[in-house]
Amino acid sequence: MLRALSLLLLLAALPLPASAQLSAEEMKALLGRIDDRQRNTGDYKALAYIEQREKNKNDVFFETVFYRRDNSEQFLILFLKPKTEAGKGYLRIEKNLWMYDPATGKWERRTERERIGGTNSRSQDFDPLYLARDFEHEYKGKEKLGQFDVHHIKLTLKPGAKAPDPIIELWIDEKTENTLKQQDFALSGRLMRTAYYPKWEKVFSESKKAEVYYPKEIRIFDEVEKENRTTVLIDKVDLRPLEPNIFTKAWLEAKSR
Amino acid sequence: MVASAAVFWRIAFRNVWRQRTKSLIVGFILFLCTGLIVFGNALVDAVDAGMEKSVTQSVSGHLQVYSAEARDALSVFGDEYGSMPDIGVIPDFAALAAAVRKVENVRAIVPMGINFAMGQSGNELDRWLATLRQAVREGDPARIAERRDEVRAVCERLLQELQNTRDVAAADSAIAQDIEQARRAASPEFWAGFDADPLGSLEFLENKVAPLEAAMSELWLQFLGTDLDAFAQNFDRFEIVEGTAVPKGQRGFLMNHGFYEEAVKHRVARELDKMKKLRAEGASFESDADLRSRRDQLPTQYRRVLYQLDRKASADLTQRLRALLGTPDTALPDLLQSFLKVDDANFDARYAFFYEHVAPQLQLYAAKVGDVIPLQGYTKSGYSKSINVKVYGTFRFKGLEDSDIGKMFNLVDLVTFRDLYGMMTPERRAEVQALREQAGVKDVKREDAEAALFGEAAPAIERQVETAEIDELAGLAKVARGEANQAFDPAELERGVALNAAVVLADPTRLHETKAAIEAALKDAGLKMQVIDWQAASGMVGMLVVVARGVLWVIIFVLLIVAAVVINNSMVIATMERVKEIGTMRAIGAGRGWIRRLFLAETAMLGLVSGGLGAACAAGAVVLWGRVGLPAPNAFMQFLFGGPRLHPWFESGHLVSALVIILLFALISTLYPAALASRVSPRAAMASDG
Repeated sequence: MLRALSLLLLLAALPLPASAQLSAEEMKALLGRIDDRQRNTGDYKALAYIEQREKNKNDVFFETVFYRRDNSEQFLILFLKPKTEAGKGYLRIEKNLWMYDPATGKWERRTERERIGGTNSRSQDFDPLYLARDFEHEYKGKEKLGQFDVHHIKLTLKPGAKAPDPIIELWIDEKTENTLKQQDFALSGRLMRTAYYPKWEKVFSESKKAEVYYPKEIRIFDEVEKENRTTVLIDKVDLRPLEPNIFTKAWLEAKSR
Repeated sequence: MVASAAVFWRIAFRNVWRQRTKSLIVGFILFLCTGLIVFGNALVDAVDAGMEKSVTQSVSGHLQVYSAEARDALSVFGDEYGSMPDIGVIPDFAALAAAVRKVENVRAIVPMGINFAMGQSGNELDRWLATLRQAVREGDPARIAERRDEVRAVCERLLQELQNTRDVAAADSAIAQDIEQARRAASPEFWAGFDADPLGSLEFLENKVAPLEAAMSELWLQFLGTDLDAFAQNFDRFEIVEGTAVPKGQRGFLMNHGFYEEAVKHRVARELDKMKKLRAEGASFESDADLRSRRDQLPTQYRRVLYQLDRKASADLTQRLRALLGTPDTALPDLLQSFLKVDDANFDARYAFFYEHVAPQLQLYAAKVGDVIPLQGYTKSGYSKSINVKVYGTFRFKGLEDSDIGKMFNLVDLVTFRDLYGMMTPERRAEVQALREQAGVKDVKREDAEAALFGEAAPAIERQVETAEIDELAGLAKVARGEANQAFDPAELERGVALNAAVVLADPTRLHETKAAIEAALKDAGLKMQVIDWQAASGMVGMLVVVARGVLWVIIFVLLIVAAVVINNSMVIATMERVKEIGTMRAIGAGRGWIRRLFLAETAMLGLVSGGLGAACAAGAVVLWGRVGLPAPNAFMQFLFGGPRLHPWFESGHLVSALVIILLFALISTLYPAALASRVSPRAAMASDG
C-alpha cells in the first residue's frame, strides 16, 4: 500500500478557517487548496516503514526511501530492509515503470498493473489527484469521528477524468483541516478501502517557502479482503533538493550494486 | 431322461426360430449390450492404464506425500481454476525420505514443488537496449560500437514505421511527438554524441523511444523444482531433447520442449508452425476458421521480425523479399507484411523461405539453451526474489509431446526453487520483528480502528517538525549478484523444505498396500503427512477415468432396461399367441414347471447366442485395435491414452461378466411371461380360437 506514500505529496495542507457547515463554494475552495498543495514544487524524500498484513500470507515489513521530484512524473522507491530486499527499486519515468533487482543486475519493464513490491499498490496510485478539477463534490454533513468534529465530503470522478477510484469520501478535521479518514469506492458503489490518517506533521519547505503537511501515520484497511491491512509510518521527511541524476537507472545501479 | 432333455431343447429352439423376427430384435439388443460391456470396459481399462502411465511416469509417481495441514488438496496439474493449490510444506524432506525409504516396495522418493516466475518482459527495442547497456557496463568499445549501430538501425526503422502510420492515419499531436522523439533517436547528431554520454543517451532511448514500439510481451514460466538427477532416473518418460541435463550439484533450468516451441519461440515462427500443423491435419484456409483467423493476424506481427533484424540482415532480407515478391522498390516493412500474407497456394513456399532466410536472422527463442535467464517472482514470505539461472537444455515427456498437460512444467533444481519459494525462515522472521520494533508500529484491528486512533486518548493530530537528514545509502547492504551456475552441495537437496514428494514403487500393482504401509511409517515417525495415490494427485484430470467408467455403465444399464422391456413384451405376446400349444402340452402331461423352464430356456438360448456373438465381435475388435492402436484425436486424448495411440487389450473377465450380466437380465425379464404361460390350463387352450 505505497499508495499512501503518494498522499504525502498530495496532502501538504495549509490550515483553513474553521466553519460549522461548508457551502458548495467553500467546499470547492477547500478542495482547490488541497489541489494547489499537490502541485507543490521541489524535491521530496521520505524514509518510511511499510507493513502489510494479508489473509493467508506472511506479514511483510519494509524500510524504504521514497524519492519524488514534483512537476515531473518521476519517482523512485528504494528498498533498504530487510536485507534480502536491500537495493531493489522501482523507478518511474513518465509512463515507464522499471523494476531493478541487484541480485540479477537486470532492469525489467513492468506494466501499470504491477503490484509494487508485492503490495496492493499500483503505479497509478502515485499519480496526483486533482480533487477540485476532476471530481463532482457533495457535502454529506458535519459528523463526529471519535473525539473530532469532521466535514464529510463525497467526490465523484467527472467523465473523462482519470483517478484510481471513481468515488471517494473524505472526513476532514474541522479544526486542523487535515484529512482523517478516506473511503474509496468502485463505480458500482462498493466500498473498496478505508484509510485513516491519525497523525500529521508539518515541515517548512524552502522551495515552497511555506509549510508542507504530511501524514505521519496511515492505516489502510482492505474492504474486499477484510483481513488485509497496511500501515505506513513516515519516519522522516527531507525537502532539500535531490541529486540531479537521481531518477536514472545508472544512479540506482551505482547505489545498490 | 436324455431323450426328454433333447425334446425340451428342440422345442425351445423351434420356438425361437419360429418367432425369428422377435428373436432377432431381442438378440440384437443383447448382442449390443454384451459387445458394449466387453469393448467399453476394455477401452476404459486402457485409458485408465494410459493415464496412469502419463501421470506416474511424468510428474506424480505412484503416490504423493504432502503436509497433513495443507489448506487445499494436492493437485499436480492445478485446480479447476487453473491455479496451484496451497499444499503447505514438508519442512524437513530428509526426515520424510528416511521414513518412506524404509517401506518395502518403495523404489524412490523425489522431492518437489511447483511455482511460477516471470522470465522476461518488455519489447524488442528493450532487449536491444539491454544488450547495449550491458556493453556500456562492461566498457568494451568494440562491443559498444556493434550494439550501438544495431540500436541505431532499429531506431531508424521505428522512425520509418511511425512516419508510415502518420501517413495513413489522421495526424494528431501524439504521433507528431512520437515522431519527433524517434527522429532524434535516429539522427546522426544523437549517435555522434552517444559515446560522450552513453548512460544519458540510454535513459533517453529506454524511456522516450522504446515505449514507441508497442509490441510488449511477458514470459511467465511454471516450473517444478526437484532433485533433477532423481527425477531423470525415476520418471521414465523424461528425456533431454536439446542441450544437456543440469550437471550434478549445479543450479540450472530445463525448459519443457513443448513450452519452448509454443511460448518461448518467436511469435511469427510459432504461428507459421501452428498453421503448418493444422494444414497437415487436413485443414485449409478456406475451410478452417481457426486457420483463417491466424492467417489474418499474421501480417500484423511483422514488427516482431522487423525490429529483430540487424543492419546487414535487413539489407539482405530486403533484396531477397523483393526478388520473391517481384516488387523491386518496396521498403522492408511493406515487404514483410506482404510476405506474411499467406494462402493455400503460397503457404508451403513461404514457410520454407521463412526458415531458410528469415529465421536465421532472428532471435528465434526469447531464451535459448545456454542462456542465463532471470527468474522473478513473489515468494511465500511475501517478498519478491530474482535469480539468474542457466538454461541447460530442453526436455520432453515421451509420448506426451503434443499434450498440453505434458507441456505444463519446466524443471529447475530444488535449491533455486527453494530460493524463489522463499519460506519465512526464523532468521528472517527475527529480522522483520526487530525492524517492526525499531519503527514502533503497533497493530490496529479494523473493528478497533476509530476508537484507537481518534478516541479520547488520541494524541494531537498535528505537530511541527524540522526537515530531516536521511542518510539512507550509508546502511544500504551491498547485494552480490547471483552467479547463474552457482554450485551447491548435492546433500543440500535432502536437507530443507519441499512442498510435496513423489513416491515411485517397484511394483505398482501393490499400490494400496504400500500406501497403507507408508501412512503407518509416517505416523510412527511422528510426521504429520498425508499420502494420496496418483489418481487423487491428478485432481480433476484423475477423475476423468472414474467419470468415463460411470458414463459407460449408465449407457449399458439404460440399454439393459430397454432390453428387459422388449424381452418381457415379446414373451408376453408369445405367450398369448401360444396359448393353444401350451394348453395342448399341459393336456399331454407337461407340468407348470416344465412350461416355465421352456420359456426360460428360450431366453437363455437367445441370450447365449447373441451375447456370445456380441462378446466375440467386441473381443475381436479389441484385439484388432490393440494391434493397430486407436489414434488420439487431440492433445488431451494423447495424455489420456498415455501416448499418440491407445492399445486396448482383451480381458476374459470382461467377457464372462458380460455374459453373466446379460443372461441374468434376460432371464429376470422372462420370469413374468414364463409365469403367465405356466398358468395356462388345458381347458383354456381348447376354448381358445388359436
